[in-house]
Amino acid sequence: MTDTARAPLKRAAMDPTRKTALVAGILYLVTYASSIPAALLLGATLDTPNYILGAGADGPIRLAALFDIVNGLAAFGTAVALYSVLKRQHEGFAIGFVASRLFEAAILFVGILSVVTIANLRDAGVAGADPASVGAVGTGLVALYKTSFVLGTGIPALNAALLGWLLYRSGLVPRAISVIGLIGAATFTSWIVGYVMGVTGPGTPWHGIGVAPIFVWELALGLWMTFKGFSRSAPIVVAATAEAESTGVPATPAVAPTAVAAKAGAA
Amino acid sequence: MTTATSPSTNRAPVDSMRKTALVAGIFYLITFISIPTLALYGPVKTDPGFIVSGASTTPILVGGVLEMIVALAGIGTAVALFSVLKRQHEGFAIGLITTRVFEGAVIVTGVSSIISIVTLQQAGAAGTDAAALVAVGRAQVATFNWSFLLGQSLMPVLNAVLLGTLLYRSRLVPRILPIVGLIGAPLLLAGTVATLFGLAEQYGPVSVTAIPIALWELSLGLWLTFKGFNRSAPIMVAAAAEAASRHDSPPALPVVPAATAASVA
Repeated sequence: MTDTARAPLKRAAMDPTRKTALVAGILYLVTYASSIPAALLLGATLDTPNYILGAGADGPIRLAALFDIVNGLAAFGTAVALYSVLKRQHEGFAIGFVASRLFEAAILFVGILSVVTIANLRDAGVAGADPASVGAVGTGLVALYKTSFVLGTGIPALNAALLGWLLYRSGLVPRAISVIGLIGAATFTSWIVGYVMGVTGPGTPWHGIGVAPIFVWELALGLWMTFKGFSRSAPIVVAATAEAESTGVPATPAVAPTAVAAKAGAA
Repeated sequence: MTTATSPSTNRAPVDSMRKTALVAGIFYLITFISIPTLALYGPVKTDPGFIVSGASTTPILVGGVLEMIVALAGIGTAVALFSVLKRQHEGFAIGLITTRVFEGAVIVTGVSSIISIVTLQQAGAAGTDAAALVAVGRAQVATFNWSFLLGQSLMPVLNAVLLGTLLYRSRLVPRILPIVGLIGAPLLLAGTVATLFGLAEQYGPVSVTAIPIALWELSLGLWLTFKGFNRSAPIMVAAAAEAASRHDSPPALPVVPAATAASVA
């Protein structure tokens, strides 16, 4: 970005990974901008006992569902966006990261389905079904939402382990960010295990310590990739730049006639 | 130029791409197999008392099977096309696989909900409160409807954006096909969001917003199946050239390419 003196063509070839970092960084920030309002909107409604039987607008939970849908799609979008760069470090980990983010989003969607089902039943009223039963169904749906939220948002530990390792090894972003992610993977895992075993719960200090590094890691990573991009001195970026420059040499026209002939031969 | 006189070797990549197009096209056509579910699911979706009735559950099971075929065939389209599409843009190509896998997961979640009603209807007679069963049944139908909305309206929007962009840029098929998809995507997105907020009734008149996307998928399926990729598309030209240059280099294992060509033929 600073090499403004260079010719446009040369500059375009300077850092072919900049756009990737920008897209991935923005998607990370989108996950924050969507998941936080969704959680606030749902927290204010679903904790109301027998919300499903209530009257009035259910706009907030539908809006929350839309936010969470955006969150889920942006979540696996980050991994897809980063894949072409990360595979240069380790293809297996890079595709593993795509898989774990996709899995996270799928679990999140199960929770969203529970939430919008509540909206639907609330709208439809209780014709033909008794209120006590609908209330029980509503409680069940809220429980399903909360469980899938905990499990779905537990996957970031796995994401952080995969992506943290890839970024640490590749040096694409400052190592301090990657290290926070790797620490977060460990602390978050400890919390999830404690929660599933019933030893700890939401709102405890353990929860706070477990979640904080992950929160910082994803936010720092999103901001860094959006505004700074990848480190130019990282071997991956150096190699990608060299490739981009070498393909700038017109090598293809010589090949084309052969290809056309091959096409004719095949036809 | 002289290398082009050995058609048996140069034909291999072009033929393998024709096979890719055929497989993807057939998978696309298979995704239309679930159209009868609109009728098959009719009673269970509209009648709240279905779960406590003695009505036949066979249509629901058939519908569930058809939808699972659709979910798998949908993933198949993206996986089949990957090797060709990644030559255009690897990120978009792998993005298409993820959106298709995601779509399949959401569809199967809906199938699980609706088939649960079959289980409860069959088991329900014994000692369960009928009013409670009606409430549970309605929750399952609502979950199904939502997974249908997210899986079979929202995700096709993303698929169309990704694949439409790839095919438009690559010219692998006539551009009018992806154009229909790219026009249909925002239209269906608007219809989906309107339904999500309760502004439009699901399966009602808002369904017309899905027509361009349905046309795009059907026309693409037919084109890929019967016509294949456009041979003058840069990707196809480059693939043929690569194969040709591979045969230019004398020491490259002479026996294997011939065997590959034979197996493809």
